[in-house]
Amino acid sequence: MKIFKAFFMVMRKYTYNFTMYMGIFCGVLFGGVLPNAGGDVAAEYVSPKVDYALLDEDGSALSKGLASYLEEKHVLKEVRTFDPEVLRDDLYSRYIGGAVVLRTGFEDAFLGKDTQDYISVYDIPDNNYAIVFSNAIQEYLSYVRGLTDSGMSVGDAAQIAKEELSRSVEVSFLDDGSGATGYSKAYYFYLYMPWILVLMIVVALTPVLVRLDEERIRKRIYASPYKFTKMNGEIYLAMIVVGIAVCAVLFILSKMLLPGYDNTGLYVMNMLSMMLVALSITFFFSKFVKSDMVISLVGNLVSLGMAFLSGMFVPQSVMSESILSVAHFLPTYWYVRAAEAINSYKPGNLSSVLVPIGIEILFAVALFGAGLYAAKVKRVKN
Amino acid sequence: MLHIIKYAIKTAVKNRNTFIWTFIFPIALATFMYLAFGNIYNEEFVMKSIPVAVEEGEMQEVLSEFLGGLAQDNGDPYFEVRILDKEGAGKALENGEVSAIITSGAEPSVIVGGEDFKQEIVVSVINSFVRNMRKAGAIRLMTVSEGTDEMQVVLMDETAAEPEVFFVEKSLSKGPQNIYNNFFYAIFAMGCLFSTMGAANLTSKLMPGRTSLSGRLNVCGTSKFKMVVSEMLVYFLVVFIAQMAGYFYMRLIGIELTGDVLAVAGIIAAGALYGVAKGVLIGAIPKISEGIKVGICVGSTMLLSFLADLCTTGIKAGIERTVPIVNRISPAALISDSFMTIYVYEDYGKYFQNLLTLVGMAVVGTSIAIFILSRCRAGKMMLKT
Repeated sequence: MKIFKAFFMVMRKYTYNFTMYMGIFCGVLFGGVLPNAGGDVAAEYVSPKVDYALLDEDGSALSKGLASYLEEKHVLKEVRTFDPEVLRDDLYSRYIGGAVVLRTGFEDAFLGKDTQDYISVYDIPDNNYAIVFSNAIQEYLSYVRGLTDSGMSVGDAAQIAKEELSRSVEVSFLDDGSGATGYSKAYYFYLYMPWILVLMIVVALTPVLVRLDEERIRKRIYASPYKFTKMNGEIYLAMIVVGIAVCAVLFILSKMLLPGYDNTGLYVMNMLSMMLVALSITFFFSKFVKSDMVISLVGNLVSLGMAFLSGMFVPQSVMSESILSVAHFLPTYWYVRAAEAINSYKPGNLSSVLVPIGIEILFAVALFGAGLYAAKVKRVKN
Repeated sequence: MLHIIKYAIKTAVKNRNTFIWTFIFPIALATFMYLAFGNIYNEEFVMKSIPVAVEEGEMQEVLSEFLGGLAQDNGDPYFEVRILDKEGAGKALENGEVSAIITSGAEPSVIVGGEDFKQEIVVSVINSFVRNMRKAGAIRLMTVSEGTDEMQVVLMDETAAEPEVFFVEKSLSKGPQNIYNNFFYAIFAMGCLFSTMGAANLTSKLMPGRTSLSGRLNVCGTSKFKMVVSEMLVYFLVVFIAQMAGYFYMRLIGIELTGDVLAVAGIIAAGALYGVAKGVLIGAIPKISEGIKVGICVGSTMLLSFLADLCTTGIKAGIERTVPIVNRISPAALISDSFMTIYVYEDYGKYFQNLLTLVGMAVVGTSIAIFILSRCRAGKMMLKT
């Protein structure tokens, strides 16, 4: 096992790469993605809510009624200030989907049927959720108008409008909940895994393989009684050991930070098969790239490219059919399929998980075979 | 100096792998992103007529006329209505041909395939329909025998009546509001920042005691300032041209980027200058290995690009609300923000502020690097000749 040992001797120099990428991955997931993602699977239709900001300068029964109605229907967010420049940034970044300013004299203006100078609604034009938000305001004020026109006081009308508009027709999912969508935090944790696994393993292990493949070392190995298959077998075995160690760290992290999630075994199985794919990609690339900069560029390009095309960063449900057809030829597509199947896994439906995992493993074998072939061609050439 | 520049150009072009990949990177990544979500914003978020199915039943005519009569501000209908039987409507929803099914019973209900704003618009309109229907019932226009026709008259009157306009929605921005463009802006940020790796190599070769070449460079009479500035200039040009090529490619394939080429060139120039200067500084750090330098370059580029929304939207906005100072000094956020300011702001104040910050940081970084490199020679480090 000389080469197996040599692999780890060389790898010691690159351990910092793993630490760094692990740090980035944890920062990305626990700082950015997981706090905003995941939740229970909804069994009933829940109206999507618009994040909005409201400034009530009027303080009248009508403005309070409208504020209370919007708060019940949507999500009130605090903004730093109602300065249009700051609101513009908040709207563009989608921190809020709309903002309302009710100016002093709003209720009097409403009774005088001239509200336009007393209410400002800011939103993103022609947007679905802007329409939902502005419709809610329009609907409320129209309802109050109907009641006040029939002689009711504004206070009573504001209250009745809120109660009446809160009633909804029956809304159901097609086939008793099959349309319900919802993903657990564990799903998101594992969903982002191929991006970092491929990136980390390609960027950290390719330089090790390149060093082992340097001409002076290669010639010494070829001159020794080591067989070609044994040499590559030991290299791949060492890579698997590293891969398993990386997966173990990620698994422990998931258990520490996301305690008690379901289907752990299936998620781990999916992660391990993606790890094999990442190792095979690394093995394959190491036969072609040499410079550290190119390794980084290729690693990032491959990992990000697969992440975007396979539905990791953008859900598969919103991707076009033609792109999804192409994505079938990427192992990460099957990883995402498996992760989705695991997220909604019910006992007795194991094949929906095992089939995509099996395809991932086939990709790993094919890429490893291609790497071996490239190594053989190179050997003959030398 | 011209002599150094000439040879720096030759070296850059002859280092074919790095040269080619610098050009391929933004183009390939933009292609992947464009394929993945180039049209999502227009497809999913911009309001278009929503396809709905009305199930065959006693209310089908009233419902389809009511829904078909609703128009958006631009005159387009709110809904594309199809009357289908129960089975056909279910299939249409399952295949994504319609966003919702409206049942035509005595009181309509809605069947949806998911929860998004399109479905919510349908639910909200049907709620309004049912309220009007109840109102019609309350004023006793609906009778057992001739109810439907009478009610239809009332409902149509409700729809046809000019509604009171309580407010006019205001947009605070002048340009398109496609949040997914942030991903493409982040490509430029990442491309500019990836130049740190190449630039770190440039200064590494000027460090005394590294290689035989560095030894020869250190014993010649040329000042470090001239060497660093010449190498930087050439590498800056390579990165700048590669990123501009990426920009023109993105516009060619239909990504919604500004047509203000000068403004884009300004951002890319400032970003590339920063990236190269940062690399030069990292390369000049003495007593750390090449591998660690590459690690610092890659790690910081990845982290900064992620913070500028490369992988998911909302991160940069979250930082803006919690620790805004990070966005004021994070180069990736400054590059990405500068693109956004062209669309969102009326003037170029914030744009120039971002560019000046990038250039300022680049000048400081380069100065420190030149200082370190000059001191290295004065420090009588071992020279390999």
